[in-house]
Amino acid sequence: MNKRKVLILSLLLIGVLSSVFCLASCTETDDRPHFTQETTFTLTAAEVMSNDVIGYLSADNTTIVFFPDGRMRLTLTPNPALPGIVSVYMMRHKDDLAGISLSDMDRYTGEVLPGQSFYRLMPALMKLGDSLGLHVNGIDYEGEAAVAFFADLEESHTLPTFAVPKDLTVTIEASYALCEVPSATQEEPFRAIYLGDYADLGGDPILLLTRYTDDEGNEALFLTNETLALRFDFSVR
Amino acid sequence: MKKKALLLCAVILLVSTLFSLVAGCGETAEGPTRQLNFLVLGDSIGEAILGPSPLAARDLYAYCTLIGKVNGYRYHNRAVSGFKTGQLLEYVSRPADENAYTHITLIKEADIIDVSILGNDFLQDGVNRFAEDAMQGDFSRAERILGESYDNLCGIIDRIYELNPDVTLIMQTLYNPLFADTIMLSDVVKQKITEGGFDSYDIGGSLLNRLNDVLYRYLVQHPYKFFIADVNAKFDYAYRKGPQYLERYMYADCVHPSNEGHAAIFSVLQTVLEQLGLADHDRALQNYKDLCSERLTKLYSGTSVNVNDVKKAIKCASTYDKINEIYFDATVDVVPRY
Repeated sequence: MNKRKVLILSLLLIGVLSSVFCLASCTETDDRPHFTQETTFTLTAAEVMSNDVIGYLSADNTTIVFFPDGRMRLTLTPNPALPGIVSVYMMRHKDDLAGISLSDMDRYTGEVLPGQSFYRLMPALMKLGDSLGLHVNGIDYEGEAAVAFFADLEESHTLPTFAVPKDLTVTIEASYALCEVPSATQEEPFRAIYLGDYADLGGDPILLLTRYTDDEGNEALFLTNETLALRFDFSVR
Repeated sequence: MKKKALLLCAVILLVSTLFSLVAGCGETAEGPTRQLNFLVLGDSIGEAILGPSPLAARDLYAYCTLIGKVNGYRYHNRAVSGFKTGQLLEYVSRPADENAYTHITLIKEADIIDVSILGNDFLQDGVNRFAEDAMQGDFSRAERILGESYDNLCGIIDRIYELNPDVTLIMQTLYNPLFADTIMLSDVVKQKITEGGFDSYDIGGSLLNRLNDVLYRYLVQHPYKFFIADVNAKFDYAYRKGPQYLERYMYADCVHPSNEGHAAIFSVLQTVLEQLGLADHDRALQNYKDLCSERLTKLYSGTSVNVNDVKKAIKCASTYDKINEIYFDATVDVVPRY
């Protein structure tokens, strides 16, 4: 893998990790302000680096749910056609995939999750869930196909082809708090949602969601990431 | 006499109560004190998504949070991975806040802004090409890019002062990551370096000196516009002590600073802040000892690290660097609990 690809990989990784990092330090007891009832926001727009990517996702099933106890859950659901397309692509490019070095992925895995290896992916995924609240769902970890995939990856250190599960989703769980962020450039403060923990004295949540009222008068919010020029909008419909 | 003693006690009580009330309001006998606002801008070194390990312990290792916590600042991190000088210029030039990150407001209200930038101006244009040019003594491509970097830097600094004329601005120099075992250079280029009788760290140094010179050139033209936090000198000192010490400062990708690298950057920045009278050394040193001890307990209890012995050694340390040395000597290659 050339260095440019490594750089792109690391930037993508940073984008993804910075979007999930909020989960790193969740408070167990939380008296910060929360939604008083369970509130679900559904994806309405998704843009990455000026590209509309909403087609890659199942918008109706990509949601952020806020619970009154201070917990939230973001669910990313791919477009139902995507797992099939990816699976076919992988079958057609089997040899190319086998030639991809995964050493950079393994290097980052060992740093983000010390003691883990990308080549031993199943325990690494478990640790990802425990440590950062990021869960990959829809995989039958004890099923024949998954067991064979993980064993092949560990042995060959290359990416084996596999059938992407049709009901694959990614969920991110974290604590949250509602807040207002004053701005020197507008009269009204931003209505925001802090994800993860923050210190009373001036800590810094990694992910802030910005709330607004959309054109149809619905309560809405968006999340942004500068690295990926990412903006995902959600609204209560 | 008894009455006088009672009266005296009452006065002492009253005075001490008043004093504690005043202190609670953030005031001292010398006048009101205010929590300082500290802001980090720039690239992934400042952002610290890649760097701290495990990622879940970012708040315990990233230098932005170390500076914030140890000094009791209100701190914010608005550095963005991948930012080149041109992108930072665009970011700070936006006319208004666009979302709850309120970066324009944070620049306006900051007492101290620390910036890590310039690295991606080189990195994203191909380190291998620059290294090959350097072997031939050709720095024209580097100089061309750094000319643009200089112009962007001027714009960034002008804009920051336009938003906040009173801010104390600190710019970090960039460290040389091209030690012999780096994965930043391709095998082909490494071979050329060896065959040409060069040393990769020297090649890196010739490039990094030009890169950091952008900051020094600016200061010659605009004296006292910012203060330098010489991170490069700190990392270079580690390398001169032995390349393995520099490698300990580096994350596995050989680009970003590791936990120990972040601690080293913290030490450099903290020293600058103390020299500028913006931080109280005794209080910060004690807070840093406490922070490191708590971190040790949290991450290394139940591992092979003798937590109590290390905490005792940290308690006796008299400098930030000594604390870092004790902590990281004890924890190197030990998998934390997280």
